[in-house]
Amino acid sequence: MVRRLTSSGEGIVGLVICVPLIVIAAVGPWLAPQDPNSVNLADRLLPPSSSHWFGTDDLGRDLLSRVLEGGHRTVISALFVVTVSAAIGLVVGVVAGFMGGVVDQLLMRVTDVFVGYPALLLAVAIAASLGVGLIQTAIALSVVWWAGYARIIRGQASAIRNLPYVESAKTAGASSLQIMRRHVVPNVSSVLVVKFTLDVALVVESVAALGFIGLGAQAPDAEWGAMIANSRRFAVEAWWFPVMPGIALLLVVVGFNLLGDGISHAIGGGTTSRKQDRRFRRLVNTTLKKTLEDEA
Amino acid sequence: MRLRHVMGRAVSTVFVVFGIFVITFFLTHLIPADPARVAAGPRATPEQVAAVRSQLGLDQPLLRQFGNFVSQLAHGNFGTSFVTNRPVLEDIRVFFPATLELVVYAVIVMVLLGVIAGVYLPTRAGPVPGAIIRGAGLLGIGAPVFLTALFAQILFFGELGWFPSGGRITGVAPSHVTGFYLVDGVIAGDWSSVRSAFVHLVLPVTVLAISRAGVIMRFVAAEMRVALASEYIQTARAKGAGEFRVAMRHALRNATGPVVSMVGLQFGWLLGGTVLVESIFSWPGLGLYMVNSIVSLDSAPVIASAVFLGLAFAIVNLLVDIVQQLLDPRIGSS
Repeated sequence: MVRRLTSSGEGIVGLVICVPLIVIAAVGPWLAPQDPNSVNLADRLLPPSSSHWFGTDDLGRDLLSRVLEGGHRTVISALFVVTVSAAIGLVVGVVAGFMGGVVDQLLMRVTDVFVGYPALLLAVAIAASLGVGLIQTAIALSVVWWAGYARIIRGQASAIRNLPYVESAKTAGASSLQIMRRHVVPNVSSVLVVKFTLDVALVVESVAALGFIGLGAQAPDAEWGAMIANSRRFAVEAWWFPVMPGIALLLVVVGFNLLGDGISHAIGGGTTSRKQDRRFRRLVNTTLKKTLEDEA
Repeated sequence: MRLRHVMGRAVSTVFVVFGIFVITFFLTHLIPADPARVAAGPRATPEQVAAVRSQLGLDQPLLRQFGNFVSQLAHGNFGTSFVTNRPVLEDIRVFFPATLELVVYAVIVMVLLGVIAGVYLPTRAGPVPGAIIRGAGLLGIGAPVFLTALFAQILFFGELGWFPSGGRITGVAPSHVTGFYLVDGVIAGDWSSVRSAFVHLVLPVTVLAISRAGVIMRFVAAEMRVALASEYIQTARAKGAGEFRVAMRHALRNATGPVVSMVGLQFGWLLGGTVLVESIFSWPGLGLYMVNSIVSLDSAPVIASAVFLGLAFAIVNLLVDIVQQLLDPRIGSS
């Protein structure tokens, strides 16, 4: 898997960007050279220098420390959103696709409502009624995001449903639950992994967007979107203030996009010997492509 | 048959709209622990809360509450904004034309950029220009739109001073006909306001357009490649048609249907993205209204505006479907 991933250009660049970023995001607050919240008005809006690598903000806080702290918040909450969405979508999608019939119809009609609605707008509405805060924002995004997983996994599950080995498992007396767990879930996992990686980029962007319009983390907590929003009034006199968190955000988004493309190539392309394997990959690819196009 | 297909789409649109109502009802009636408490305000006495509860019908069965809620929405009652002290629907009526103007022009620019680049890539582009165009398209899609907007503002207003930092117009707006300042200015023959409206539009429209033009470009390029490889193109070439005519008249025409539905989907994305872009360029549309309401912790206008924009999206997609039917009679006939 890793070898296949590194065989594509996107995969390598994606890994090179993402692995350090994930490490930094995980331990960021402990790497911060200074207290991200310590106000020092004498050092207001200082340009990048040896004592403040990224410069300082309007309250004289060290931007490097705040970017690290904010990245931790932004990336961790994005990972939370994607994990929760994937879990809900997996259950709904597998049940709908495997059971078929009325259950399928019902679940998919509900899913349609969520998929058919501009994601950011729905998230804004939900977050606004939950109240401002990073946790509320993460919950709102999860409520919006699961539907994409449900739809893509449902397509996979319903394709697997009629394959011979599932039939034979049924004949052998396996219960529906057993078949779903043993046969359906492992077979949808590759699609899940690709969508997961591509989604991290989108969700990081959405968390930052909601933070930017004031719904996410509240002052004085550092969060990239909120930092960029704060920097707007000073952008012309202090370019580093919006640019530092902006570049960090851009790196994460581009990095995870490339990694997602790389993983998608690794799973979809590559040389395989077995015919069935190839057929399955083609299936994965077409479903994935269709769903991604739907969503785009 | 075609009518049946359109009817099917209309029914599913109604279903989505109903779903939006259910979600909104859930948001406003079930998520707050006690909606009456919230509506009565923090200093209300228990009696006042009880009065508000029966006034809002919150003491009635849930199903009846939902019925009331839908009928309120159907009558256009979305509540009142604390920020403007006006009914939310009136605010939406005031702010929506600005948003629509922005999004409509953004769609036009997005389609122009996307189609030109998408036709150019498989027909004319060499490897280096091709890579540059593809890279630019990808960067446009990948970069968060509020970041692009902010950097564009820093560069073209702050550094170069070519365009205003924000707003819709300098001076007095042309008399209201369509709500689109550019069009209204032309109708009134007021060229100074046309000019002013235009320079205010350039940055927000461009930023919104390039955030999605890459999607259209990739899509058109893929469709063109398929079309250019097919036999009728060979025939057209054999009959002596020039490459330009082959690309425009034959290949592009066959790529139109899928592209139209793709544009419809992008519309939904642009309606979300416009919230961020409006906030940066102080564009007085629904997005800025939403952001101002969020800052004042006033949730009713935020929810109502989001619902309204969602409805607009559902309707646009229905229209796109109908247009697509007219363009390609094969859809829905099988």
